[in-house]
Amino acid sequence: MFRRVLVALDREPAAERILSCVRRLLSPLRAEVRLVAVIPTGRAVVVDGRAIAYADQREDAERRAAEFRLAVLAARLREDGLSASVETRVGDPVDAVLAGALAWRADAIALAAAAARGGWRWLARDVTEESFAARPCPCWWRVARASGWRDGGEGMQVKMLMRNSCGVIDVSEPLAAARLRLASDPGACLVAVEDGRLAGVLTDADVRAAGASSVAPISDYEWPQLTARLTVAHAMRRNPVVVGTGAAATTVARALRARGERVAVVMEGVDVVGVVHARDLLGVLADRLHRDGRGTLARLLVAASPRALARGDVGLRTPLGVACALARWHVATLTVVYVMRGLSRRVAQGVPAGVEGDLHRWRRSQAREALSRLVADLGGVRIEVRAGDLAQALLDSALETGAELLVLGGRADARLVRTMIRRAPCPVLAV
Amino acid sequence: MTRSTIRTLLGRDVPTLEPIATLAAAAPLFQTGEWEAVAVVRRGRLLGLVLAEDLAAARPSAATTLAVGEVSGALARVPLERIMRRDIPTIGPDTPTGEAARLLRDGAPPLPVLDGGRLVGLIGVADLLAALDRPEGGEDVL
Repeated sequence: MFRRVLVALDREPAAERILSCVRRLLSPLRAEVRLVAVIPTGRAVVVDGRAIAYADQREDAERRAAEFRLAVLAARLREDGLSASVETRVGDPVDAVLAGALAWRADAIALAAAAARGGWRWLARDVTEESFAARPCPCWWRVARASGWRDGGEGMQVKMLMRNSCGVIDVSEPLAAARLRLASDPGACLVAVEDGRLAGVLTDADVRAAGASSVAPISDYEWPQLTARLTVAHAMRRNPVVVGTGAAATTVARALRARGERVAVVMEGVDVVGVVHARDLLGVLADRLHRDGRGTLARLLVAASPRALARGDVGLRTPLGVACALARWHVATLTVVYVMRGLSRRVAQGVPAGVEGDLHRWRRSQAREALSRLVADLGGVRIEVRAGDLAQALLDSALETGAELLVLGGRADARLVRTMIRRAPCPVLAV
Repeated sequence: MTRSTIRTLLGRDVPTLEPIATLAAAAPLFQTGEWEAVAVVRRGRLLGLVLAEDLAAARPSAATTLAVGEVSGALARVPLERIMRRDIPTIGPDTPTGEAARLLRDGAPPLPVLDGGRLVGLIGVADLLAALDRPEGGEDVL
């Protein structure tokens, strides 16, 4: 799997961005890459009844230009440790790419499905719709957007980073009570409220700063009877940084730096839904630098199908099997998302849903257990069960997990595959 | 791809004080919020760190019976070595930025950067948040 990957390139610079995806996906695999450019069949140029360029002359010129361009790209791939070769073909783009894949016995075809208009869009559509049935390769993978790979930090939304379980405390509560609550969860943060409204944030450092002095000669002048009267209001940091759940990690980092704060409160409307600590953001940075240092993937997302659950094992050629293999090779975190039809959205989100919610909860737990059994032998796998529209649920999951590659199955002419290729925030590997 | 190191984040002179310097001497260094910690050195050798939060914790609370003038006097009598953190993790200029980010993420105080035993920098959370803010592919960090 993924030992021989054919990369189809047209003359659009955007198409070449797929190479960064190829490089990253294949770097741990010692794969062979073949860059293929397809040249349209040449036509003679005739002016005033006189041929000034024959078809073969034009084809030769186009071929030389393409070969030069491909040679440069192949050299870059070789610098990254990949084995790269080049090929130019003449004729219909779809036929030429498929013939090239068959002749070279490619495991996969990579191509950019850029949103731009033009022939390449036509090619991409046709490759999907016409050729998937022929399946010259076990897998196809394509890039959703010319923008390439998702940035693990810049694009990651706060709701993926925030700590949901932040405690809320009233400003009139004794400081000692806040200290006790923070002691049970090192690194935690309390959100202080006054009359039900956000008033500030409180960390362990704030409690220590507001409490009795840590130095004996000074603390001698602080009587326990007086320090016991200190409240959250004495210690909290007022006017905290507030961000929405859709804010990007970089936006929060910028806000924290500008204000000299360490904690941002995440709000949805008027409700506090969590907090983001600067340390959480450093985790993103560490993750990003680690990933870029390796040049590999860190987060994969795979859509599990009802068929996979029913079968009860991870086949090698299934989306789940391919995703598991990639996760192992890249030492990446794999999120398996299963979208249940008819599942109460409230149950999927873990909120009470009344009496009929019991049945939904049971269905969800059954699905979760089945998924857990499927991936029991793999480490670092997250399982998500979602409800609602399949495509939207996958898109939401890709955004929230900061996925760098989405693996899914289904016929190429299926609306889901087309939708995901068009809208996913990361490259899509259609198996 | 060039691996990003801490060297790219260095550049500012680190505030240093002797261990016998008092809390009152350290307080002005934190007023601008530019530094998260002050290095405590003796004859150029790093002994420890005093963080802004350590100094805040040493200050009397709102419940103190000391008058304002007495607080200043008390702070001027406490040497930094009383509250400084010892045995702190240090890094070098060639430490990968990701490694420093992991240390700080896991709760380490600001990281002194030593080059041949000489203190050449101090990397705190704010420095690395700035690194996160830089566009991917930037020459200095990524």
